[in-house]
Amino acid sequence: MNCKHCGLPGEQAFCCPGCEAAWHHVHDLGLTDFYAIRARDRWTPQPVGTEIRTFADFDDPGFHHQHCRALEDGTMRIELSLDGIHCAACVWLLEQLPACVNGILQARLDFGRSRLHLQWDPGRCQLSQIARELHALGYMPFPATEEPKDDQDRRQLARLAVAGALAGNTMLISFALYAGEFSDMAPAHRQFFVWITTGLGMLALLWPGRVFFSQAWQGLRRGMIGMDVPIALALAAGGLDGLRCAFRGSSAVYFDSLAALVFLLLCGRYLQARQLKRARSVVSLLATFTPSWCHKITQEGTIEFPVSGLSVHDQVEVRPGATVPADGTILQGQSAIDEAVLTGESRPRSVQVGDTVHAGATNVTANLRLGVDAVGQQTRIGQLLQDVEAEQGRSDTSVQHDRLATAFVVITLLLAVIGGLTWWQVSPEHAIRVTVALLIVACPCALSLARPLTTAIAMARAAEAGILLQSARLFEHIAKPGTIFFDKTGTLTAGQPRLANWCGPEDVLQQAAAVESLASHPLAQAFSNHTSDKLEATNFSEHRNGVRAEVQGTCIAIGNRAFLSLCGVSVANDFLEQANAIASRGATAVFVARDSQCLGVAELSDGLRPEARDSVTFLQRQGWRVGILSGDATATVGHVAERLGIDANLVYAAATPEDKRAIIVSAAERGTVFMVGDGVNDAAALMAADIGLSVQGAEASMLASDGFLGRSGIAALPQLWATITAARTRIRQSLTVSICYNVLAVSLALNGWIGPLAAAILMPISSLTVAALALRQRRPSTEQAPALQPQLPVRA
Amino acid sequence: MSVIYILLPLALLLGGGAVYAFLCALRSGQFDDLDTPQHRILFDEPPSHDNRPEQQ
Repeated sequence: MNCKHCGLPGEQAFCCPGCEAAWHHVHDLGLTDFYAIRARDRWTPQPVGTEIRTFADFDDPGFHHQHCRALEDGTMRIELSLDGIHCAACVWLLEQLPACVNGILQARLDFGRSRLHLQWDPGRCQLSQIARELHALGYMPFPATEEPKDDQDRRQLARLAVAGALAGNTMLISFALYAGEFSDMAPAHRQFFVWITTGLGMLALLWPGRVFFSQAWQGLRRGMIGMDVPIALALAAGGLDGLRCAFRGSSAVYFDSLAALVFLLLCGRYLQARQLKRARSVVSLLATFTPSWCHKITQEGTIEFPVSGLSVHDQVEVRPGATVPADGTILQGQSAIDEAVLTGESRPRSVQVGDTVHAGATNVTANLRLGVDAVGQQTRIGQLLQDVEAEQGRSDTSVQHDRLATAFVVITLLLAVIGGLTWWQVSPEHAIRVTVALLIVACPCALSLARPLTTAIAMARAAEAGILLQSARLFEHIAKPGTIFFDKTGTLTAGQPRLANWCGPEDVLQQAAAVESLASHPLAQAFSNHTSDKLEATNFSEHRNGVRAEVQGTCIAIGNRAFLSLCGVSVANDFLEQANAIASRGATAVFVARDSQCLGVAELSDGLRPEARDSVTFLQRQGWRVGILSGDATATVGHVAERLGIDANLVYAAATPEDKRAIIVSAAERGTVFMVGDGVNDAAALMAADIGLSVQGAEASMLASDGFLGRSGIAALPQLWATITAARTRIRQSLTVSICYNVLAVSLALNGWIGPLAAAILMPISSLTVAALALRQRRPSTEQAPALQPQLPVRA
Repeated sequence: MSVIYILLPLALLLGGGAVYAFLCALRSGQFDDLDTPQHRILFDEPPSHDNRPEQQ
């Protein structure tokens, strides 16, 4: 049977208390239509979390000041980012809120970005109440951060609309002019039309088309001749020449082609921008790493408090399982801290009074009381992410332009001039016809659309398979094989240690498992398969290098050699030899001692993903040099490299985030560099590489990368390569068809065999062909695609 | 045919009006979210709340 609320298969009616509560709440509100609406479409099961929160921090005035907007009539607006939105029925459910909760005036959900726009009356209900209501329905609310890019999208759309209107109108009037070439048109009328098209065309160049000129100028100022330069030159030349002709009274104006060119180029850019926006959720990098609320210790006791309101010297309580909200020093308590997000080290570090811990780390074992030393951007993780964001901002301005299309326009103009002059010698009245026909029929629109349209569709197809591409740069870099670096933990390996081998008596293993069941760091989970209900450990204590407890009256100690000697246990030589053998196999050796005698050694290894070897071989066969960049120990990393067939010269171990970045930068001198990783310690490297790909893991790496491989991880790499190579082939086909058509049509026009009217009919054909070819791209196989949206890591 | 001197500017004015209307709609935020409306139009009338217990 399936859980009644979230649909996950299980044995009971509900998979968890959260789902049961949500189900009852939906019924209490009378909104059971939710389940019927949900059944209409495809949806993914997502259980409700079981965290209990009062959301008192949502009522804090500082919170309101930062995230809410007050309106004149006394109501307030807020934008909340929700976890748990998974289908269209959620839209329905949440938009019924005004009818169900007294005080909510308007609720609108932006499904694509999981954002709820709320308008509520602070006099009738409190924000914390609304937040609890949302939580009760199964959605976890977070304050959403500002999106400064909304304005840019609107301006782009405005430009597109104006360009389209101008292009359409100019073309219609130009039809009249062309028709007038055949039949007699009164000169006054012709002049009128010429002036109107000139006016509209210049408007098209100066208003929507201005962006090409300004971007070309900006590029030139930085010393780069970007793609906008030829476009700007072509537009300027066409515009000025048209003006000159208009003043001189000739009718050889072709502002309709120019306006259409502006419109179609803007179309291509808009399509790409929309695709990019879809793949990227704009959240501040820092906000995804540090929690938005924490437990602050004040005179009155411990309260829920927004992290943005913390200041230095405040005291916070960090509970087990929670994320550390700010850099600080431990004032009270002893625990183990998982800093994998910062260092990539999968083993937690023991900490005690006086040690410093960093924001973003997870507290694993016990309560800690911290004195805050640094908050927000000043924390270590804040600094690291600031660098990442700065780089991201710089590379945002690179848009794919089509060199070919702009060269084409220049050639067309040249041909028009040459053709016109040549025909002028032969027969002047034909010259005009020929020039006009040439300019109409030569369509650069198809060429300028081919690449953006094909890449946009390829990215959409890949997204359906769970591979989210954030930039089209991948399409050009993939052609030249260079170096590709992989992170080890979580990317090449599964990130979960397991017990590979045990040398010793079986009962000692079971006793060790009983002890480890009380420990809560990842290495302890390796023993979980061997626990038995009959054994229970007492007097448990956890230390820097091991754990100790009493089982069945005996004292069991588990740890490395240093820990065991602390407990007064000496390890026999053959155990030491086995430990060396284990280390050479790339695993971790852990000794187990009972009553001061070492009785066994466990081999804990972090398993390689099964697809790792295939992916590496695939890439090497394509001509890429494969390497590893990891923060883990040299022996372990070296062993993994050997098993995957990776050249030892390209293996770098024990690398800090700064080291990784430096290695990427030096490798870039030898060619294209790709980086595949998952933790925030990879974020800087992902940005520095030509192309960064992230796998399931830290959200910051997803945002810093050019592509996200989803849950299938590196198994998706061959598929990605196939999709992109197919897209490149498709682009080449489109361009070839376009060019052939244009060459044919231009020669026909130059020879005077087609007139302007025939040319006007032929022109859209090339654009349609390109569009048809682009849409015919096959979808990548979907058997490996689990969900459409990446699974966000659980926020504290 | 001199009517064209009046008709053409009139037509352009009409077109300009349409563009202006579009820009107004753009500014009011109607085009910010182009994905959710496709789900929203399929919803039926809001449900009756007779069976809902009183809110305090």
